[in-house]
Amino acid sequence: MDWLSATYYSGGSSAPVAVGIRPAGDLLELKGPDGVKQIARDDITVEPPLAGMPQHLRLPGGAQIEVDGSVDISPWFSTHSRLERFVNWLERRWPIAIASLAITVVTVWALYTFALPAAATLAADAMPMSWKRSVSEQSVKMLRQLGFFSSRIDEARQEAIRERFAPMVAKLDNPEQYSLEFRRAPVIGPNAFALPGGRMVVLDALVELTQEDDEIVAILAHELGHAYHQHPMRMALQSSALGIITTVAVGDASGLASVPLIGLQANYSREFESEADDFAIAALREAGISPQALANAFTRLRDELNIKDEETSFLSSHPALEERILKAAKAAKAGAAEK
Amino acid sequence: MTDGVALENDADTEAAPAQLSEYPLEFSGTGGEFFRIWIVNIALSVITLGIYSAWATVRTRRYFYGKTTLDGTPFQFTARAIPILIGRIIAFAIFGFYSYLSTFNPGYAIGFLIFVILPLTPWMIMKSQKFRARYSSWRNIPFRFTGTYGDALVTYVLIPVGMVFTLYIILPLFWKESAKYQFNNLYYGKQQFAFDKDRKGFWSTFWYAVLIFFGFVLLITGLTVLLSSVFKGTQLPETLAGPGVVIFVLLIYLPFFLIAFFVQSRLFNAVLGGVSFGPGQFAANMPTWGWMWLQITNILMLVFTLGIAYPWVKVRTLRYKIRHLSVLANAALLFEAAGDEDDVGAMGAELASDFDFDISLF
Repeated sequence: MDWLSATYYSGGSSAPVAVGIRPAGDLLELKGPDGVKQIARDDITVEPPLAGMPQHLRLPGGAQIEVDGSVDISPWFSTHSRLERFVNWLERRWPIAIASLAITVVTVWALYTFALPAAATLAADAMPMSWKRSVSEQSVKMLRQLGFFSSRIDEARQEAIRERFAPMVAKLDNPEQYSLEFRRAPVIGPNAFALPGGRMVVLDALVELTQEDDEIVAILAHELGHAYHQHPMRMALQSSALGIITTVAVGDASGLASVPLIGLQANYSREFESEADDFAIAALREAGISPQALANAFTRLRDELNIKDEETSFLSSHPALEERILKAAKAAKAGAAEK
Repeated sequence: MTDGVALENDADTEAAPAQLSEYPLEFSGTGGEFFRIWIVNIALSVITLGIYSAWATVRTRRYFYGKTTLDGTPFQFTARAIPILIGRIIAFAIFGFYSYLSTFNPGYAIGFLIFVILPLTPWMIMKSQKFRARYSSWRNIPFRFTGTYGDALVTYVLIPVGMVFTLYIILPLFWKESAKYQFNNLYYGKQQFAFDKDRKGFWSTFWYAVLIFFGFVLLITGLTVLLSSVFKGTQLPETLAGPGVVIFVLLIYLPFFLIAFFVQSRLFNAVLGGVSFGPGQFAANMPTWGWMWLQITNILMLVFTLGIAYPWVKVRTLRYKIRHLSVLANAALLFEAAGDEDDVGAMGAELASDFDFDISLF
């Protein structure tokens, strides 16, 4: 075989030395200014090929030979990396690059849509109650800082609502973990939410908006659905996992600071909302309340938000809310027909 | 071009200014080639849930090093993937733990930040520099980094904390000190690099940036006042509201981008132009306008391709940087490797090198 021209670097100095190399049996022959040397090929490490760039052979003792990249010489050596030679083969083909783009998009989407929620559910189930409670404590502290005040709904009305709500909670496993609080938060408007660990908060504006107790109980049943399915904790876990992944990928920790606020933002997925709705419809029926109450409460909220705040209505997913109202109304009709 | 005149040979004609000759520094990567490497490695990283990402990092760095040649010889990135993977797992664990704390116990999270992360930061910076230098080589001689924890603590923790208390007016000091830390502790074989301690350009860059900022503030205030008086009382069609908001937001952000690009190009020249090594030195001449234009077109490329143009952006940015950087020397680029006796001082680093890992997140 012909000599392949290469450059030798001793490792002791940066001076280049022109050499020739060729394989001979188990040996590599190296022809330099001082004649021909033979080196056992098994003692030589070769850099995996990349983009047709010069390859480097590491000789025992620290010297190195640089070979121009037109010939992939890694098959001459037993120490070559099979994985990286395969990756090199992939990297040189446009159709594979396009396919990789598609694979990346599909895999990221699947991980985000399926794997992440599934992992969050597993973790939320496995998490000890004390952790959930402490998250809930944090949220309550934060609520106070955000301008949440004691409720101004009179005691008798609060008591009446609690009384109607209590049987729904009593039917669940570990009813003692759920609790309900009335709070006033003028900046937020009519709203109710579930915090991690089973705590539910309903705001005065919502109680005032929904005239009938059935409607407020329907909303509470919906929040209880979130609490029962551990949606706040699952949301928190998903977002913090995403936070850590993006932090490590992008290298910036600013995303981590916002984690405790989750649950307040309550931007649940459609799936979570519909799970909570189903729970509410079933719970209302069992309690002898028509699911129409839920439909009415949603309608009221929709109208209220529409009138009061054009911006919010632009951002909130309206078709989804319409669907949910229809679903509750349908359930109410079906229930009435059964009777 | 490669035969510079060696000073040592002219011992008699002392003080004769040495003839500096330029050694070609070139980058020959192409966007299409890097795109294929990039996307294949991303796909492999994603389907292995991030484990392959360390190998992806090695291949990416090897590509950029290998496509950069000095005097016709490529640079080499010689690190193995496993230490990078370990570094990544450690980073993941630290941030995971911090995230856990900030969710369940924000009080402890702040303590963790101040008493663990903050003291650890200089160590991580130092360690990453050591790692990178150690696994970067040219003509089979590796670089070395000998910066200490104490210097990193001053440069990357104390000065930044001081900045907060001085309204960032000492920012130029930070730029200069970090340049000193990076280059005064850098060796190529036996040859130490040096950063010119009298190097100018840091304070002027800062004050120009401040001036430009206030210029923009005046301009935008003026425009707003002018426009609101012109359009006072006229009802603009609603279809204009959307684009109007977009243009307004862009107008607010644009100055910050432009100032950042301005600072980047000036610092590139101030820092790299101040670096010398024994027989030679770097010269940096990046034009501010050219760099701004490059960066603005980079952003547009990324936005309009949803990020797919990243490899082209990366390649053209590096090509631009290398084009405006040159290596001048008055002697051939001949260097000796650090012998064992030179390594005694670096005992700690050598000892640690068995457990070397790269924690840098980029």
